[in-house]
This record gives sequence, structure tokens and C-alpha cells, in this order.
Amino acid sequence: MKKSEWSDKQLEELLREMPKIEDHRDPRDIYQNVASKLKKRQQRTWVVPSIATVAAAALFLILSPNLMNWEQSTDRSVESLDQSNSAVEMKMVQNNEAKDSNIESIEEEELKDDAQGVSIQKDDTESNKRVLTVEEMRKTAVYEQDAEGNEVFTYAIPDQNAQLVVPVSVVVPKVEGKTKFTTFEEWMAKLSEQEWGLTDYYPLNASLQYDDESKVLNIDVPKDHQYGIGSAEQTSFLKILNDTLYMMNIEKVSLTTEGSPGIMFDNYGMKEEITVQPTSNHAYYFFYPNTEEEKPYLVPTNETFNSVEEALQKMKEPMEELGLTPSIPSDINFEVIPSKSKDLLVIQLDSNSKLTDDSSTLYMIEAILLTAKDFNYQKVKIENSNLAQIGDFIFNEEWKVPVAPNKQTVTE
Amino acid sequence: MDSVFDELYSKYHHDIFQFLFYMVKNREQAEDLVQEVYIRVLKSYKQFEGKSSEKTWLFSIARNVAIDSFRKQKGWKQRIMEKFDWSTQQVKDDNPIPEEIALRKEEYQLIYKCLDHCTVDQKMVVIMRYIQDLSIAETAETLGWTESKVKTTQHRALKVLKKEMAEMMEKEGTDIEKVRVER
Repeated sequence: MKKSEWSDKQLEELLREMPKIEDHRDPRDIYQNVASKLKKRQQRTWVVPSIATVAAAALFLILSPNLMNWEQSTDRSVESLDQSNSAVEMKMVQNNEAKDSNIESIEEEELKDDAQGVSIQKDDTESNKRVLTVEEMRKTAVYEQDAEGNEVFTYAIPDQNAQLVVPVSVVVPKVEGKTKFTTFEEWMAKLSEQEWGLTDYYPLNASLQYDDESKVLNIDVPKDHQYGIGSAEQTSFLKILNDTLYMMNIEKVSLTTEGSPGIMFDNYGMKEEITVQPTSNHAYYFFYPNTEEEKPYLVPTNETFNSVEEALQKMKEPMEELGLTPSIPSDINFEVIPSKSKDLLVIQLDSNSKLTDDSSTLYMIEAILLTAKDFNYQKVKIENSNLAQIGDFIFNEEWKVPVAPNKQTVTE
Repeated sequence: MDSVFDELYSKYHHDIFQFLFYMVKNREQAEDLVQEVYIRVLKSYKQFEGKSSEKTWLFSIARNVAIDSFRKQKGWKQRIMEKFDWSTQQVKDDNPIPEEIALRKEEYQLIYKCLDHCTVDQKMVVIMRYIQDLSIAETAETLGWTESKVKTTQHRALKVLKKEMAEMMEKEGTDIEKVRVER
């Protein structure tokens, strides 16, 4: 017992004989403890990432509008800095002028506050407009939501070479107490055709009288009017009248020259009356005017087609003689498949046809929608696309056809 | 109860508990740690690929749990608390010798006390090799060491133990004698 030295072997023996220590708890208690902790931890592992996700999403939502308006906001902040600087200067001048007059400086302060309020408001409307531009301006046509509460007028305007007639639509607020036609006529004068890369055509060199009851429009031209000279002029005048008035639901036009019946056309002779012909069953092509504008006009062909499929297939082919660009890429194959209702056009893309995620695809969709509208469809659905959506067009959903083509804004 | 838990409990519970107990020398703490082992095992049981044996896998988890608990104990909070709270300091200094050991010959008590003079690695090897009766190969697999490292660590651990036991015997020899007489 007094031994103070152990050999390795003895020590190993002793170690092997170390008493067994046991856990006296009931295994069920242990399991209960373990299970409850496991649950807690799993909850925790679920909670933390989800909080992080929510926070990240919130941050993104807060930051993304600023990022989108980055250029705008830097411009604006510089501007507002300038404004505030000048306000401060003004205030200092004022203070010097009226050193003892507290009243004046208080007034000045109020003025400055007001000015700030105004500038903030201005900023708000500007940024709202900006969001609209990003979301809405990419599309070319007028849609139901644009038209709501407004009047939509479509004017047929010749291009610069007078080869094409481009339908251009403006959305104008409804005016109480004025007839639709009066507003329509007023806006004719406000169109800025040249700015839009087209020929200045409106207002017509004529006075217009519309009778709401008989739905007859009288066009009275002066003696030296230009509309009867040259075959192109005559043709486009009649076509433009027809297209524009058809969209206004006017059926008959009586023509007069300074009060006496009839307008003289070199090619057609004297015309006293026009019956507006319905225009439909056209295909829509892209037309790029010679401006910096990147968006094309979507222009209906002169040619009419027997079926919507025929028209759509035609839209892949070039039509250079008129300066038109195909609105559907030649490598996109598709077919029109039967749908459940005659109002719905269903197009199925070939699985080898890949749409690109850019604005040309967006314009293609608009061209298809307008063509469908020309064949009296209300809705269009495109199936089997490689893209989930483009702009706010979500594939495999039914899209309403536009109200009118080629929206333009009038700068007054 | 969970079937995985059931199986692990019946096969390994006492080994794991004993290993943890000798590592931390505190029953309550060992009880907490063995639960922690189950939590880790049950969470990662599906990932267990059977590359190593179930036994060494469990021991390696137990070892990690023990090492983590040492790290936690040495956290700054505890260190500061120890400085101010003298009662815990005293308790820490001599964890009461458990009944199972107190009832045995003084050699076992000596060994039990002297285990604290070993490094954590040495202590682990000693417990695994002798008290748990794992082979050199099993110990190496559990610790992720080579077998030769296990052997040298084991050799050094025995050396430390012998030395410390001899010293303590000389110092406290009479105390132990007394204790025995009293009983």
C-alpha cells in the first residue's frame, strides 16, 4: 500500500478496473429532453434564415426604386441643392435688407418652407412618371387600363414618304359638355406628326361638321385645296379619311367645296359622298421612322388575309418595298390551335423556337395582339414559350387585345 | 420513442455516458452532454454513411461535445465569474469524488484525481483505451489520428499519471490513510 511506484502494466490494470459510472436516468426522460431541444433548435434554424430573407427582401424593395432612378435622382439632388442654395442666398439678402424686421425674416422663412414643399411635390410626380415610363412606355399600344376614364383617338397619319399610313393613338381626358367629335377635332390640331417621324397632315385644310343624329360628317374644303392633286395625294387622303373615320365609328361623309357639293379629284373625278369601309383582316408589321426613337410603329398592311394564321405567318416575311420590317422573327415557328371560344386566339410555339427576352419580343407580341384584334379576337394566349413572361405579358395566360395601336403623347 | 434513439441508447448509452463523465468529472454536466450527443447524432444520423463504425462515429461526436464544453467553460464570462465567485472556484477545484470511486481502493481515487494533470488529448486516450476498452485502431479512428500518435499519446499519459500519482502519494499519503481509517 505504501508503494509509490507503479509499472505501466500495473497502471494499465488499475485503469481497466476503474469503476463503471452509470447514468441512472430513465431513457424516456432523456429522450424527452433530447426531443424537446431538437424541436427548439429546428424552429430556431427555421426562424433565423426566414427573418434574414424577409429583411433582405425589404431592403431590396426599399433600395430598388432608388437604383432604378439612379441617374434621375443624382440630377435632381444637384438641382435641389442649387435651389436650396439660392434660397439661402435670398434669405441672407433679405435679412441684410431688413435687419431689424423680424416679421419679414419670418415671412421669408415661410416662403422658403413653401418652396421646399413644392419642390418635394414636384419630385414625387417626377418619380411617379419615371416608374410609369419603365413599366408602361416600353409597350407601344394603348391598353384598357390606359383608356379607362379617357378618350382614345386614333388618327391615320402618312409616313414621311407618303407610302404608308400609320395609325397613331392619343389618350386624352374626357371633357364634360363637349361631344366626342369636337374633342377629336380639337386634338387634330395638337398632333405633332413631324416630331413623331411622320408627315404633318393635321389639321385638315377643311372645316368639319358632324351631325350626331344622322352620323354624317361634312367635309368642306377651300377651292385651292391640295387633296385632289396627284394620285398619291388623292389615294392617301381617301384612305386616311376612311381609316380615321372608321375608328371614330363614322359611316358616311359628304364632301363639299366652299359650300357647293363635291370635291374634285383628278383621278376619280367629282366625289360627293364617301361610305366609310370597314378595315380589318390586316397583318401588323414594324415600321421604324427616321428618328432616334427605338420603338417601332406597328402598322397594318394594305393587304388583307383570309385567316389570322395566314396573316401571322405573313408577318415573318420581309416587306421592304414599303419600308416595313417583319414583326415575327423568321426562326419562330408556331401554329394557331383551336380554342374554346371564338373570341380567344391560341398560338402554340414550336418547342425549337426560342424567344429572346428583349423588347423586340414585346413588340412582336403587340403585333400579334393587334393582328388578332383586326380579326375580331378579344383575347390571345401564347403557349409553349421558353420565357415565363415578357414585360407584364405572362405566357400561357389570356391577354386582352389592345384598345388602339401606337400610343403617342402630345406635348402641348 | 424514436427507434434510432432506442437503438443507440441500448447499444452505446453507458459507454458514452461513462466517457463523458470521466472527461468532465461531473455527473450533471455529463448528463447534459450525453443529451447533446443525442441531439447531434439524431440531426446528422441520415448523413452517417457507414464509412466508419457506428461506435467510433458516436465516440468522435462525444469527444467533440466534450471539447466544445471545455471551450465554453473557458469563455470570458466564466473566467470573470470564477474570479468573483469563490464558492464555484472551490467546487471546481475538487469535484467531489463520486460514490462509485470513493468506495474503492485509494489507487482508483488517486488515478481519478491525477487524470486532471493530463492534457485533454492524453485524458481522452486513457479513457478510451483503458476505461472504454477501445482498440488502438478504434481510438485512432475516433480521434482522427494515426495509430502511432495514439500510441505515443498513450505512453506519455501513463508517464504523467505515474509521476503525479507518486507525488501525490508522498504528499497526501497520510490523508488517504486517515480517510480509510475513519471509514
